[in-house]
Amino acid sequence: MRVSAGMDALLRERGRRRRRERLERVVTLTSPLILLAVWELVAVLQLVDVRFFPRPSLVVQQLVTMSASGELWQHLSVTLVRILVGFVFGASGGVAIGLLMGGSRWARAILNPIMASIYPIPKIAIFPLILLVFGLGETSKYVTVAIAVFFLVLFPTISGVIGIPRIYIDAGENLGARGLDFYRRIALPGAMPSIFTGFRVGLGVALIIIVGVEFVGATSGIGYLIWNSWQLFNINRMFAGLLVLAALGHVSSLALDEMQKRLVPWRL
Amino acid sequence: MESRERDVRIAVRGLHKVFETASGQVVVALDDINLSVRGGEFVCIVGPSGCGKSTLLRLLAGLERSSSGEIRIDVARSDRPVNSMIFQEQSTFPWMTVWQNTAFGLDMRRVEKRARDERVAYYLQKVGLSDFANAYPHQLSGGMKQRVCLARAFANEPEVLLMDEPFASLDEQTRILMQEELLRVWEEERGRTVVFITHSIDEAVLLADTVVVMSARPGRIKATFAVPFARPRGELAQLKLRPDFGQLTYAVWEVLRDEVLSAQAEEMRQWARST
Repeated sequence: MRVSAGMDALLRERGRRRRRERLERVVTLTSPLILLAVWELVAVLQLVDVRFFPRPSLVVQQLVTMSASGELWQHLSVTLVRILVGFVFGASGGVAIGLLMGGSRWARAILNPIMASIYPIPKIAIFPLILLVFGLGETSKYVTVAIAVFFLVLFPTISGVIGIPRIYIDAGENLGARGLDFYRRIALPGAMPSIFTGFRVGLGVALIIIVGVEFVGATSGIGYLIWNSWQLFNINRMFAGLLVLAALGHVSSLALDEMQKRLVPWRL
Repeated sequence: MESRERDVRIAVRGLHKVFETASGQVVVALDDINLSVRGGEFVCIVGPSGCGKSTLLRLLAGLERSSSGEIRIDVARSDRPVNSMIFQEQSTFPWMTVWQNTAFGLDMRRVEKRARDERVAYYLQKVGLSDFANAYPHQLSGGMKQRVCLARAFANEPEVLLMDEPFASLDEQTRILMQEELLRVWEEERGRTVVFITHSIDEAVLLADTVVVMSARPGRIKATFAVPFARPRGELAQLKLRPDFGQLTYAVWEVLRDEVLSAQAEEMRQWARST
């Protein structure tokens, strides 16, 4: 009896939490729209130079046109694929090597000097080298993004594993978790909150990197769209590109939140 | 004599543990420990704080290495783990549900799924957590988390259960219930050997067949008491009413008092030296 009453309370509490989370999500989505409304007003009142800062409604109009012609989707999909492929490869590499380095003193001693010396190089700076090695095609874009994401996921993963409280390591060892079992059932889930911090930073940087790469070394993608618009002095089109990037950053961050809620349903 | 020898499940001979503190001070934690535990015996080890009783348990668990001496644990069935430990701190894995926590040891041993599920369900029911199988530890109270640890250790079916003050961080009322629960689960299946560390004399006498008293640092075994109460022990609060319970706890306390005093004196010296 007492136990089932406890479960009821648990369920009620969960319902309340869900409703609150939904409301938070709605608010999160509407706050940027308010900012756009203010901008529109300022532009209509000619308080800013509309040659450089066009009305958002014109930008949206531009977006609609580009969307109808398919130009927008073509650029967007190219950029998305580059980010996604680069991110998936970089992040999985970062998690795998990070777990190894976090779990093994020897791996740390061997790999840390190498990782620590490559890490500080701005990844965009090695893009020319990557172009030389991988050519002008898509591979060079994937690799650049992957390398950047790799390091940003690697270090949080290492510190995540090292930070797992000693008691869980002892309990795991006592119950027979060794080798792969240790990494799969103790190290990975234990480091997950920290790994997600890496994912978050990594995805943000992936966006920066891919735009930089598309500015100089691509003939498609949102970065190219923005650069090309500047060259043609088509400011509305340029802002359309910026708007898409902002939305992309926003959506990807929300997607990560959602993923984290599913993958890390627990708390310490 | 020979039959008693054969009955010995845990044999500790001349065990020493010396370690060095961060400041370079050499500390003798355990000094020539000799201990025999029969199969199916419930042994409680009491001692003053810092006497090395937890160290002894960690050595038995294989979580630390001894400086010298021998630990032998006889294994009746090679398909079972030698020991499972229940820690004082909260040790349920926060990223696993109650069910997953309880099944963990069995998963690591690759126990066949049906046998595993059966055993997990059985022990969760035993500790009254069947309705919480899908809950995560952060949703549970301290007492419930320790119940999960009990279920997890029992479900693993080890030769020896090692308990390091498992109820010390619980409140008094929860602790009494947990002690009864532990005895109920353990007495039902008898035959599982238990080494239980505590600083509570009451707890030791209530639970154990044999109470072992350790000295202040360096930890030595100072005395051993046989506890005469029949099993199952039933309601522990009633046991406490018996005059022979009072006599036995007093006898243990008499031995322990000097050790507690000398442990305190040592603490004072340490404090004086460090200031």
